[in-house]
Amino acid sequence: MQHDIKRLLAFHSIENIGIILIGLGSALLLQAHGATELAALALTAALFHSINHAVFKSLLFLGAGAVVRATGLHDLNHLGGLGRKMPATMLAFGVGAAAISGLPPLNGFASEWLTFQGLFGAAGTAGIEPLARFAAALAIGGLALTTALAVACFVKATGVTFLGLPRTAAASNASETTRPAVVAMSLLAVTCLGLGLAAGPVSSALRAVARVAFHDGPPLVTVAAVSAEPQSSNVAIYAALSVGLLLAAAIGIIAIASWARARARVRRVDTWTCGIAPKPAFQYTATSYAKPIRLFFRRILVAEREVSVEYHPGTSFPSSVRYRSEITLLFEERVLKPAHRLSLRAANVARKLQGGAIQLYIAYMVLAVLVLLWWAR
Amino acid sequence: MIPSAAVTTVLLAALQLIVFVLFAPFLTATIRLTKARLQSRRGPGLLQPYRDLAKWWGKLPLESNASGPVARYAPPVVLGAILTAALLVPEATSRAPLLGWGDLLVVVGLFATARFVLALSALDAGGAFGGMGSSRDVAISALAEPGLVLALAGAALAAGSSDLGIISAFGIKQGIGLLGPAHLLAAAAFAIVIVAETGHHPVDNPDTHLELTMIHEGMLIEASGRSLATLVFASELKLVVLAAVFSAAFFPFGGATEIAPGPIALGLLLGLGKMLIVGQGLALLDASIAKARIMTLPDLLGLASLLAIAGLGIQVLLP
Repeated sequence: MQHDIKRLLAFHSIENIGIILIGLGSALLLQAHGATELAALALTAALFHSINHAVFKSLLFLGAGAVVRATGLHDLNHLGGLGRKMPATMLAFGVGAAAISGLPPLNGFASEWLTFQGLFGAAGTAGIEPLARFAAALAIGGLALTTALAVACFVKATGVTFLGLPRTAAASNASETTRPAVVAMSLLAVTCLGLGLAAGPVSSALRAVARVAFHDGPPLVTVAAVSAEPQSSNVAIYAALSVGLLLAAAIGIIAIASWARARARVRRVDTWTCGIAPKPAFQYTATSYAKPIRLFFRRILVAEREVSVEYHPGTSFPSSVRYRSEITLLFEERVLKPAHRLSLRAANVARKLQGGAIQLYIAYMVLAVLVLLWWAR
Repeated sequence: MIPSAAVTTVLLAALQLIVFVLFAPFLTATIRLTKARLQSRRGPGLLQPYRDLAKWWGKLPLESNASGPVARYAPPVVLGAILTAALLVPEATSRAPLLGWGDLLVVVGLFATARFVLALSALDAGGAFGGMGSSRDVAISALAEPGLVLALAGAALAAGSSDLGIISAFGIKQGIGLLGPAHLLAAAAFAIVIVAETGHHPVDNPDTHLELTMIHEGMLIEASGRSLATLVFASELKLVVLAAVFSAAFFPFGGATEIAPGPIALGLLLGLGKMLIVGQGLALLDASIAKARIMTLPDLLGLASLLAIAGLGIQVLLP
């Protein structure tokens, strides 16, 4: 729903800190019930996700900064087609977007996988109260919904910014960002991939840290570098490097098969728009892209919209149509703003106590002493 | 002679790969044929999807003036992710061919990778239909995801592992006793998710090219030639893999628990039979109910999540 590229990323920090806290919460829950091995696993997930979030969020903010620098625009609805002018930024931002969406074989998936395993552990440990186990099971669904919504959001953010046709002159005149920025983004993108493929060694290093907090036995759940036979004590395995290499091999073979000879013979045509010449305005904008989700969640995302049409005098032909829509942020309206008003009002009341007259303050002190004397009587 | 673990893995993976790849268009063909017969049409022959794929593979590709590398290289990534997922799901045996490579969350994650890349590539050409399909697809999948993961979580908690092989072996050992109320609720939730994820009625119409109703087809509208063949095949294969996950997690009966030619052949036939049953169910849905308005889909997909939650509640709260 948020279409300012930087605010969108900032809101996703809330999401990711939530995921980190899920890991921490299940670690404490499991530790309290003596399931130390699983507790160490859940803490590993929280630590791993903190590192991953630092990497992909920096990458995405650098990408967003490059976009803002090239166009001067923050609003996704005014961007578009930047990939043609800024291919390196697009590639790096795309890797960051895939990582934050929790897609294998990148790093975000590895830590979310561990977080899920922590929740599975909490829901499946017999010693924990049934209600807490049920809450952990519900959190599994919540985390699944969150990651799927992140996919939707980052397809929007990446696609509307970098793909399609430019929606404004500023977007069509953009140029690639500076070389140091490209180098920085490339390093972070490679780190996203590297942490994802090396999830095995990284997570076992973090387990050593988690072991400081919790006593740790043999691992129940393993992120392995390469495929491993499940032992009798193993609950689940994610062989990050093996899966990554298999995926790369599959993609490579299909890509070579599809483009080996056909590559040279491609006919270029206009995009199909029912026979009219394509215009940038035909494209889905960020607002329209998010509309199904806004409608699905219309109880919490209350939209206000206003359409005003002006007509040519004396005819039914519109001369201009203006559309304005805004999302009412229910959390802000119903929770934050009332709390803000209440604290302001309380401050105003408190202000009257501070009258400035020294006699008044002495009276307060005498009163306080009297009350204390009476209380300690 | 007992074959070594590595040889077994390679042989099983190759067998599953070949069977899935050859079977995927056939499964789609059976769905289309049943649907046509239920609508009093003759319907295309069972080889039509193969002919379609061959036709597109040989055609001169058209690319949009607006699109670039994303649209060009997305199809191999989409198919690659689904092929990788295909090898992590048990089919003929109670173990996945790639034993110890990944669990059900890795399969779900690889599907998400495919969806991300496909939805992104649909925006590349800058047309309205690509954006429409892409935006609807990610929104519907977002609603389906909790049901999918929660349903599988129910099976995973019962078996004590999120590894599909362990879940499947657990189910085979339990026999008919597996089918308790919690299990059946989770299976029902998963069935709804299959409908949503493979784009059948009432969520999407796989045969439509009416502009305003397309979801999956909308994303493929600018694809042609080998790209189109790759993407259509990927969606046919996705149905096969989802049906395999369904039977491995919820109805694993008949899967081979030992690695020997006889049981594997039997498990394979039973597995393909179960997929055909899933396909016939989808055909029946396609022919008997209308496509729902997109606005009513949260009710359907919310129902899937609720069924899965009810199953988990029975499992956890009423031991």
